[in-house]
Amino acid sequence: MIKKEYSSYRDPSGFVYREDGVILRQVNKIYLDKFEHMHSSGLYEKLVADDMIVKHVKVKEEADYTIIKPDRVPFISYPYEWSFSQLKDAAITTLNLHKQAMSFGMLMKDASAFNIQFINNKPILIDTLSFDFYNEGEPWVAYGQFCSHFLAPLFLMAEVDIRMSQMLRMNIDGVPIDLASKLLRKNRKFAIKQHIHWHAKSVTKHATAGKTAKGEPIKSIKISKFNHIATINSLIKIISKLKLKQVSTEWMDYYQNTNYTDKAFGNKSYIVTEYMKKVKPEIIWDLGANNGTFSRLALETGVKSVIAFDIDPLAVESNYLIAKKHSESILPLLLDLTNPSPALGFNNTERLPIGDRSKPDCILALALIHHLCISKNIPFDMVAESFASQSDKLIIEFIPKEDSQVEVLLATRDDIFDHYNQDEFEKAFSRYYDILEAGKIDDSDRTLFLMKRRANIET
Amino acid sequence: MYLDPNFGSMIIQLIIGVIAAAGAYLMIARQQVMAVLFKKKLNQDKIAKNSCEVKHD
Repeated sequence: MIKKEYSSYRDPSGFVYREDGVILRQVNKIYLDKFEHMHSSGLYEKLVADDMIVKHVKVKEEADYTIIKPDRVPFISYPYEWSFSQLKDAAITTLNLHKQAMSFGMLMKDASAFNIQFINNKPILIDTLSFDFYNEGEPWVAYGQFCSHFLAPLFLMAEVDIRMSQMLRMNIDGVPIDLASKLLRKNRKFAIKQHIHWHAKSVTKHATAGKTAKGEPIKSIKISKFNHIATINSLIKIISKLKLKQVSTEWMDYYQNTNYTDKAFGNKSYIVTEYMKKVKPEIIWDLGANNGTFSRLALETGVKSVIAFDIDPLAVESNYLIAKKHSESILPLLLDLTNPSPALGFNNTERLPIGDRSKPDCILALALIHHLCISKNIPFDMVAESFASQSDKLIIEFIPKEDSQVEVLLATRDDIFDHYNQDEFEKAFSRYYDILEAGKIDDSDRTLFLMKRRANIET
Repeated sequence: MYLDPNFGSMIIQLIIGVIAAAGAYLMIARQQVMAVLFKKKLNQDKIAKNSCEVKHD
């Protein structure tokens, strides 16, 4: 049965669909000449060799269309889930793809951040139909989109606040340039002046010109190839130099400021390792992963891939930089479990919620339950139900009220959590899971549980 | 207010392109002057990087 992906309705060049669970892409007749040029010119081969585009094989060639089967991307993530450096790397990859395309007589007609995905922490283009012919003198048609999807959010994250990445969740077509200009109005850095303030003024001034003249004036704009590439090189330089202002967040030094003794930390690592060896998962979700300490431990036990979620953008940033440096199969992503990425876009079907994209073999929820139940007032059974809807195996740590970290959470508020104790925790989770093992962590009051979803629980 | 951003984005590229190109020319010139002054061998890689020529790697 053929099911068209809602996210690919915009481009008349083709569309993505699923047939019996296999992801395929149809290349329509209007794009076939470009598609053939991409192959015959050597561009596709070059991009594959450089790990810049997802590989595909042709599965059907007809006069009016071609069907290709792209390699499957392990986990689809969205720009509002990326850290600062992930967005930076995706931006630089987009610019390099455009430059590379120009050397083969083509250019990138799209610069959507949603066209980039991370495979082993390397940004890669997944939209094979993003290329068009380059005609000498032509400006970059996707420049405005590039600024909205990458440059404006990066400037906002670097110059205003790292949490500005969430603007991309509200604006899935990119941060409007005039809005970015207002938010950065006090900033007079030359790069921001050019690409944001002047750009915004130009957009406002010429708002109707492009429409009323039905595109004719656009064709009359000429920019030499030298100037075109100089602009791209300049953008690469600007983005490469962008740095976050030195800020600290609650979690970034978590493992330095934790209340674990060396003995407790060692024993916790040992128990987690033993549970992992028993479950033998291939893909895990590490919820509240912080800088990925236990994600890395999971990889050592034979786990193939970890999606490491955390609420803290700097923790995700730190995890990404470590994972990238060591080429680890960890994909760090920003996620607030109490307000996770929702369904977005037209008909709420273009961008999927986290849980609809894939499921893990096991969830790792260490030092997390007290934040959900005490900081956010979520009852145990709702947490258990949520975890059970995602995975049938769960490794979870219970932190009692006597723990100093919980005491900190309760220090400034009334203790209304009469039911927050290990008995109630086990009772609530037992409605959804069979508790296979429980291990008290030495030198602490904490307990680690290995659970398996009950057979009668529907997901 | 709906703004069709593309025309304005195209126009601004003309200005940004000139500034970027001027920067690239200056960089190349600076390297050539430095090479003459200090009789250093030109760093061909750096010049190529700034020259804005599109080459296959």
